[in-house]
Amino acid sequence: MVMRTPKGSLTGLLVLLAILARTGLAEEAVVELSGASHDPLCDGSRIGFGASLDPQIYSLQPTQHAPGGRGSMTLAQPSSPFGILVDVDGHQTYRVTVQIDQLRRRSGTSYVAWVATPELDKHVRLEAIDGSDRFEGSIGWNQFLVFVSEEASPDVEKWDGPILLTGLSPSGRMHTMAGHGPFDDVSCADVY
Amino acid sequence: MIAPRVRLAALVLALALAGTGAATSQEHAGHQMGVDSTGVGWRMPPQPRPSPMMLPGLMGTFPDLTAFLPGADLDPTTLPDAVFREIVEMSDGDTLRLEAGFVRRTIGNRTFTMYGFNGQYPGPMIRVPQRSEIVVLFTNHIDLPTAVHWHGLRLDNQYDGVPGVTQDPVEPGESFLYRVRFPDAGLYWYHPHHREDIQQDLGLYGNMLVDSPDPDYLGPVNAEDFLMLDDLLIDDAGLFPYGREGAVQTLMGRFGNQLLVNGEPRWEVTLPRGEVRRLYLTNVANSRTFNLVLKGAELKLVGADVSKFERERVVENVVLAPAQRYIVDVRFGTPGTYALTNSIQAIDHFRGEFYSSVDTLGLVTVLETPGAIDYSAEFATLRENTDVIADIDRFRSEFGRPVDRELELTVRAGALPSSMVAVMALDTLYFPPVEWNDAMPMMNYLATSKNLTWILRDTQTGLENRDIEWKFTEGDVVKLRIHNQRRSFHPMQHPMHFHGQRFLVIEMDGIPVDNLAWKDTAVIPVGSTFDLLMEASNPGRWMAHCHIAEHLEAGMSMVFTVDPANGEP
Repeated sequence: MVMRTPKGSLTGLLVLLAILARTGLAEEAVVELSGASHDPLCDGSRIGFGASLDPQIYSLQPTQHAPGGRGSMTLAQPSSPFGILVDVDGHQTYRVTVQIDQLRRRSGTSYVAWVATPELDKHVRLEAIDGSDRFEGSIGWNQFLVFVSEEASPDVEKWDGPILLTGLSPSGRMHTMAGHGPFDDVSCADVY
Repeated sequence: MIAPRVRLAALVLALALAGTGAATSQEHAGHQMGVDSTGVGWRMPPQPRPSPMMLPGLMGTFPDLTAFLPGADLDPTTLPDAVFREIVEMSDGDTLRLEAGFVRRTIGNRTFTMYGFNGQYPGPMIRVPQRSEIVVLFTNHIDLPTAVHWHGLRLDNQYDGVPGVTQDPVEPGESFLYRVRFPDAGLYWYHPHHREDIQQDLGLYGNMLVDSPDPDYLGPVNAEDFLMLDDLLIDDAGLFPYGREGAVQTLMGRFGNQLLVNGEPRWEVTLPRGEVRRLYLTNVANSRTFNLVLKGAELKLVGADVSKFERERVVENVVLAPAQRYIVDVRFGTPGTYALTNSIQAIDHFRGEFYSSVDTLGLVTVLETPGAIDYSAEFATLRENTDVIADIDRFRSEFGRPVDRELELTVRAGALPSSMVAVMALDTLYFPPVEWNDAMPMMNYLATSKNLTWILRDTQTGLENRDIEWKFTEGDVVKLRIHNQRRSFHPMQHPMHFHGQRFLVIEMDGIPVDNLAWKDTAVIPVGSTFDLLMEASNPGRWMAHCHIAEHLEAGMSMVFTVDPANGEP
């Protein structure tokens, strides 16, 4: 294979990354791609040296009900004799931990962390750990939303109160290429 | 927040600026690009779902290696028809003649030129008593150098079958004598350790079962089945070519589109109602991880690579990465037909979506008539294996101590087409913990062992792959931490195999594992950190590597030495 000068390709990639960096969607993506943006050979070795304690942590974003609010979700593998836990349909199961770092607490209310499908047809409550602002549970959906709501009681079974923090599973970043970008001439109707 | 349209425009701009950075068919007009002397040439790989064939600008781009199919110049009608494997029961001191050669294989209604051990598919199943030793006189009748690796056995180092580490390759026409000892009861397998991306894929593999002298080592069952799970990449023209000088499809590994059980498209068995079957499962695929489901049947997980679990447990499915083995007892309580499936959530990167993919690997027909012996009660009992617990107890005090060695798993891209690199960067916005399917067959096709390097990195020294040479002493108990780096060009899971020793996976992402079994291969999902406790019990110079065949060929291996406790080299 003949390799052309990488100058043009690097410029293009940097332009792309710079634009992505300005989007909310790409907040973690910029981190993921930082190696590529620094190294023409996308050398993973330039980053992550000694990074064994590198849990998958994703920021939760505050809503208009919680300006300045901060929190995170951490994804990890649940224990499994196989090293990987999936269900009979192949859905990956994650151990989801939500941590609230900063929220203005109103008296008489509680924070509750939830995980929901993108269609919002199903949602489950994560369990608070020892009454702290840390919540944990397992979820086996391909894509999911994580959010923290303010509720009258920590034991509510259904989400009812205002949403304060939101987040999206990394799988929510997947995007179709049909009809867009380099596949601009491909009709979405032909592939869906 | 910038609208998606703007981001897509950026992608267009990036790709336009990037150019392709690759050789195209136009640039190679008049050349026999990637065609070997037998006329085998590159063609686009099959795709699981309809999609544009290739990124704009990359249409007609070939891998940077010569297309190669072993035996392409042979007349298949002159080759022996492969026959189904034999079970060879051997005793201490017995000798087995094992020959690797060309065979004619019929899969479905198509015929292919492939390899076989002793003309069989899979190779002979060798059944031996624990603590026995056999002699295997191996002869190479294929067209490539090779060697036989006895996967998982704590055997003498000189017989481990790793060219460049424990022996020279066995050249075509040559022989090698292996003395194979079996210290541990369990399920093992043998396969080549030289271009296994080709040789193993074409059928060179077989099982070994080592029986404990204790008749109650495993619970009673009505019957046993040995299932070797595999896949093969086939299109209308036949077997999809390999790379002559090195491996292709090194990004994701070679995913086949024809799933196989014991070399056949479908495993079928008929049995009486209520029967309990013991399934000995081995994944011999180059890259595919299986999620095995037998819907409606009751499954009990009994053992893993090198031992039983501390406690038997009921499971609904079995996840099996390349080179791993599990022993699973299954009870079929009611009459009917049970499908053995590989049930996954596949990813379509072009559409940006998950989709459910179910392949039927087998059918179990259960008759109305009950079996002669009913082991239902024994099956319902979840045994606690005190022998395994006692064995592991000797090591439990080591679980909490500091890590001795740490490996980081990552990848380095070389001269890949730059537009492919740009799109890969976008695709990597999401990385699944496990790639269950080849979600990007076109880009995978262009990645080779020349332009992509998979890396094991010792984080304490910064050394990589074969520059790593760990030193241990026999009797050492080594705590290893393995981190699968997600911040890379294309993260992927890695089934890590350590030769000649046994280990426990004691912690996954900071959570202690509560039911242990001795293993030789552990799959590390993307972004995860696993702690292993390895008993350095077997002297010699050994290899450790990822067992995705194409990752191994693309560099992902290292060496470690266990010196004898008496100090002699």
